[in-house]
Amino acid sequence: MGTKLKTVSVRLEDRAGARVSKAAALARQSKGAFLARAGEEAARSLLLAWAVQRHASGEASLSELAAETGVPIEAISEHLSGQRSEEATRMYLASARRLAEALKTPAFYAEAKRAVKAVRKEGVRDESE
Amino acid sequence: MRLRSSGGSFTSGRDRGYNQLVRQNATLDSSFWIHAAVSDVIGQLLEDFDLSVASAVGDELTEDYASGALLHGLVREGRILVRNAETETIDRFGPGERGAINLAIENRGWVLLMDDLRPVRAAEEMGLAPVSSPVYAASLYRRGGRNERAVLTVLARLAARSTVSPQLIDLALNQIGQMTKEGSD
Repeated sequence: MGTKLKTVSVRLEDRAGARVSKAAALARQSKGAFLARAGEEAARSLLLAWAVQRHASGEASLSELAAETGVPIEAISEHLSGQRSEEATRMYLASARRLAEALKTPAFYAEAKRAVKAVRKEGVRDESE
Repeated sequence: MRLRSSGGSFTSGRDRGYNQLVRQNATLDSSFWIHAAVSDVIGQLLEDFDLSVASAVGDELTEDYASGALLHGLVREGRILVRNAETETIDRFGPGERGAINLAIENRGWVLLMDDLRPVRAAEEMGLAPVSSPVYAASLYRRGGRNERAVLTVLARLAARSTVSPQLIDLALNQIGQMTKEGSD
């Protein structure tokens, strides 16, 4: 069964139309296919940015955001991770340090730092694969 | 039947530790599954629980992504069951979270594995005992399934993911820190 496609008409001024024609030719696509892809990418990017804000403020869960945006839950999760990973890791280390000080177990913080170092290495390896 | 003694406690700070003599039934939401996959505890999870997921959770986790592909593979192998609650008791939150909470409401003996703070709080208010992925990781340390460094690495992975509430991570860190302290005293 074929995918259902929705038709959207756009009106472009001459110069914008010429730019779209040239770009579509360079991408070896029809103008329609080019604009459809560009629109989809722009929509996804905007929705992901919006999802990051909503999740960070605690207004919506991943499940709610996926339902509201139509973007897969894992795509939202990965995007959030890319945006906030460093800050979240710093918070983790700060918590571990405070706890180690309170419990007078400096080795605990040392282990937490080693764990973070190992995870950062994993991240670098993942990106290079 | 495997005999297992396990510790677990829940997200609210109320320590509702439980002793696990047999594999328990459990259900989960998509965020818990993603976090379990990222932190590499799926194997342990399958040993600890007979897992059932609501179909909405399966719908949310697409096969285009690694954790979704893993879930669907395990469903096809029959190692995870897909079940739905007969009644939609709760109508808030996302579809996967609703599906998981509704299943847990109808199966009060099941463990509810869930990570997002708002539905976790709502589940607690309904008398359910949700377990978050950081607290599940801490229970692995308590049971001797992971050593201190390994479990702190699991928590560091969850923190780096940045989709787990820092409050839930702090709770697990506290549990591990206390256990480490008790072990060294």
